[in-house]
Formats: sequence, C-alpha cells, structure tokens
Amino acid sequence: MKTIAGILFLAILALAGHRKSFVKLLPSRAGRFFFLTGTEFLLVGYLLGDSFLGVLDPATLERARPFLIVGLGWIGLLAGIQLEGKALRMFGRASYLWILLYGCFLLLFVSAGLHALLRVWFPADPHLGLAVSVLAVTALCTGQTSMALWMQQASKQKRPLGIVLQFVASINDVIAIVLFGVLIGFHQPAGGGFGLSLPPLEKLAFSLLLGTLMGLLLLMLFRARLGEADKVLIVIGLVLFGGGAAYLLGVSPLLIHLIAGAVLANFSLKSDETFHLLMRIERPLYLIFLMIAGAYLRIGAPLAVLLALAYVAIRALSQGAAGAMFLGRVFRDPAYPRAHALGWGLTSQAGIGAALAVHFHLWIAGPSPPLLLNMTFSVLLLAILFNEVLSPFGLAYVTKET
Amino acid sequence: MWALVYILNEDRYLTEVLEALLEIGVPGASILDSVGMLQFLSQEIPIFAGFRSILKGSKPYNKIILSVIRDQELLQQALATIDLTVGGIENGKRGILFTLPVEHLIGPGPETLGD
Repeated sequence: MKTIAGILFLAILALAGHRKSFVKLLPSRAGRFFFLTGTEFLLVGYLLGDSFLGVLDPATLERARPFLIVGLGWIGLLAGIQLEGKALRMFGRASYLWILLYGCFLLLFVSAGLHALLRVWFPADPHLGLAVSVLAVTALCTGQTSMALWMQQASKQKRPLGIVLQFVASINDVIAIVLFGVLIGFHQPAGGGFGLSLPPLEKLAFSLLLGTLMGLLLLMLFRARLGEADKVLIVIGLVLFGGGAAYLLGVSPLLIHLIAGAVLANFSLKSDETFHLLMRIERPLYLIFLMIAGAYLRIGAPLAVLLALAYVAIRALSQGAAGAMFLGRVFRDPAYPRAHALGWGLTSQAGIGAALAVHFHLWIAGPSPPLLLNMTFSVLLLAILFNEVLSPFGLAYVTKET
Repeated sequence: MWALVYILNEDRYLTEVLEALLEIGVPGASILDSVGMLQFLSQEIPIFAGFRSILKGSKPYNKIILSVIRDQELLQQALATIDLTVGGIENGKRGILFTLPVEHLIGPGPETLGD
C-alpha cells in the first residue's frame, strides 16, 4: 500500500512540477544564468528519501524497480527515434569524425584524471576500473534543457551555434548509452546486478537482436490505422515487454530500446507521430526519475562531495581541452571568437546522464553493494547538480559574440 | 460568402475530410501546416531527444483546411460533413472548426466556390 501511495505521490508531484519547471528562474536580466531544468527535483527526491522524510524508503524504492526499468525503456526509445538517417545526413561526415574524436579524448582525459584521483582513496579496490569507466562514460552526456533555455533567450544569430551544440550533445548521449550497454555486458558486479550471468558478447548480441525485433514489431503494429490511445497502449506494452526481457537477460533496457527506436525512425513513415507520442510524458517521467534518483542518494561522508567537485573540474577541463582540439572544426564563425572552446558549452550533465545514473544504481543494487560503487552513484548525482549550476556560465562564455 | 477554417489535430483524417468535402460539392480548399501554441512552447525544451527537436519539420503540425464557400446551404452541409467524418469535433480532440464572413474576394470565379 505504501508503495502505491509513494508512486502516486511522485506522479502527482511530477505532473504538477513539470508545468512549473523548465523555465528561467528569475524574469530579470540578472536571472539569465539560473534555470529550473527539472534537476532541482533531485533535491526534492533527496528530501523525500530515507535521509529526511522517509516517504520513499528502501522498501518502496525496491518495489518501484519495475517502473524504473520501464521508464528506462521509454527514454531509450525516445533517444533512438531521433536517429533518423535523413536527419543525420544533414550534418557532414567530417562532423561525425570530429565529434567521435572529441568523445574519445574526453573519455581518455576523464578516465586518466579520475583513475589518478580515486587511486588515492581506493588504491586496491577491485571496482576501481568500473567506477572510473562509469564516470567517464557519463561524462559524455550533456543535458540539453539548460542549453535550450539559454538559446531561447539568446539572439536569433546564435541559433546555428545552438544547433551545433545540441547536435554534438545528442550524438554524445547516444554514444554514452551504447558504451554503458557494453559496460553492462562486460561487468557483472559481485553480489549485485540484475538478470542472468551471460557471457558479454552474448549479452551484446541479445541486445542487438532484441532491439531490432522490438523495432520491427513496433513497425508492424503501427502499420494499422490506430487511434492515439491504442498507440500509447502498444508502446507501453512493448516497453514493458522490452524492459522485462532486458531485466531477465541482464542487458541494458536503454540500449535495446535505443536500437528499437532507431529501427522505427528509419523504416516507419509514422515515426514523427510516435516521437510526439513519447514526448508527451517525457517531462513527468524525467521528474519521477530524478526524484527516485534523489531518494537513492546517500551523502554519508564529505568525501562524496569532494570527489564530485573534483569530477566536475576534471570533466570541465577535459571538455575544454578535447573541445579545443576537435569541436572548433565542427563550427567556425568569426563572429564567435570563443567557439573553439565549444566543449564548455556542453557542461550540463542532466537528461541522459540522470537516466544512466538511475540505470547504474539498478545495476549495482543488491544486499551489500560495494562502497566504491555506491560512492560512484552519489558522486555522479552530485556532479549532475553542480554541473547544472555551472552550465549557463559555460554557455555564456562560448556564445559570446565579438 | 464564408471562409471555412478547420484546424485538424489528427492528420490521419485529412484525406477523408477532403474527399467528403469534394463529394458534397466543395470544389477547393487549401491545406496549411500549423503548430498549436502549447505544442510549440512544450517542444522547444528537449530533455532526451534534442536532436530531433532541433530539426526543421519535427514539430507536431496540425493541418488547417481553408475554403471559401459562397452558398450557405453548402456551408452548413460542409460543417455537418466534417463533424461526421472525424467522429465529432465537440469531443475536443479533433480540432477546431469555425467560419468567418468574407467581404471581398478577388481571384477565382463563382464556379470554383461551390455555387
């Protein structure tokens, strides 16, 4: 009963909150650096969690797990459905190469920095590699909400720069989902994790196969002339099926639904309709995710805050360096002398980053999750919060005109 | 002379509506893409799928059917036909239908206006 009441309470908060969030915090000019991007609901979740009010206690959160897996599927489908070949071809092949190189170097820099840092506190921890990998992969994610809010108030001339930033962010988000799916395939945390213990390559093969099959199934079902309510039911049913299958096989629901979405986007004439259908509950779903993530958060020691600050700094420096090396080639305009530092326009880490954080927590959850992995989750969530505050300043710096 | 304006929310009915109008004698109409105010505002801030939302044409378009009809009887018939074809406009999900009086018309002759 408490679980149902807890989830209902979250749903009401999310439905009420999504209309008030996603806006500039203050209407004045001074308020241009402060946005409500939904990320503040992490704090709401933290307050609702066991640390304070206890509305979302561990038992309730445990029972909410199936909902989270379905939510991850929904998000994966949304992320995949944007990968329409026609749209992707709007940008030149060279752009993809530079973005890929940016991503590789960002991963490299963040991994090196974090490895050196975490080795100081956890020198012989067997999970060090996994913790570094997860934080490095999520460093690729960029929240696009503050970017869009910033661009909304900026001049029309800045729109091309905004489009390039959103393009880079979207591609990196997709890369992060794929890499996270691969990580899940290659690491099965001792005493934790979900699903069967299959060999890594089998997990990847299952992900690909299941994702493609689900995409084809969706394609087939959507061929019929259906009302909106029928389509919503089909999507919910399919995401439930996909989420359950992912749980059973121990593969990433985000990854398989990403593949399904991409199949639908490229072979269906109605992908636009499906996209808008999925978008309708995007905001409330996101807020529920953030609140649950916040409820999971435990800031037991100041070390988590210190590590989060260090992670934010390492990520920002790496973004600046990798961006200067490669992203300056994706966008060149003499009107924007700081466009070479495009990486700093990608500071926000919410959106897919938050979804991956929840995914990570579901993956490591168990009777006694390792300390370092628990710490990694806390560091990631705190970093998402810190980066959200920093993000408008990075955008202001990059988009400054001559 | 009246202008009939139908903002259709679900474009799957578009062909059926146009065919039905043609059948009762409405000889022509223009179709325009439009975006509702709330749709426009809510689509501007992406969370998980920014790439799709930045592309032109990704907004959820409504269809506006615009037709000028000279005969009032035909106009009433057109209103009833549209309502019947989409299964009832009054349920609020099939769009908005309204008419406006037209004072001047410069362009095609009466034969194209359903006279």
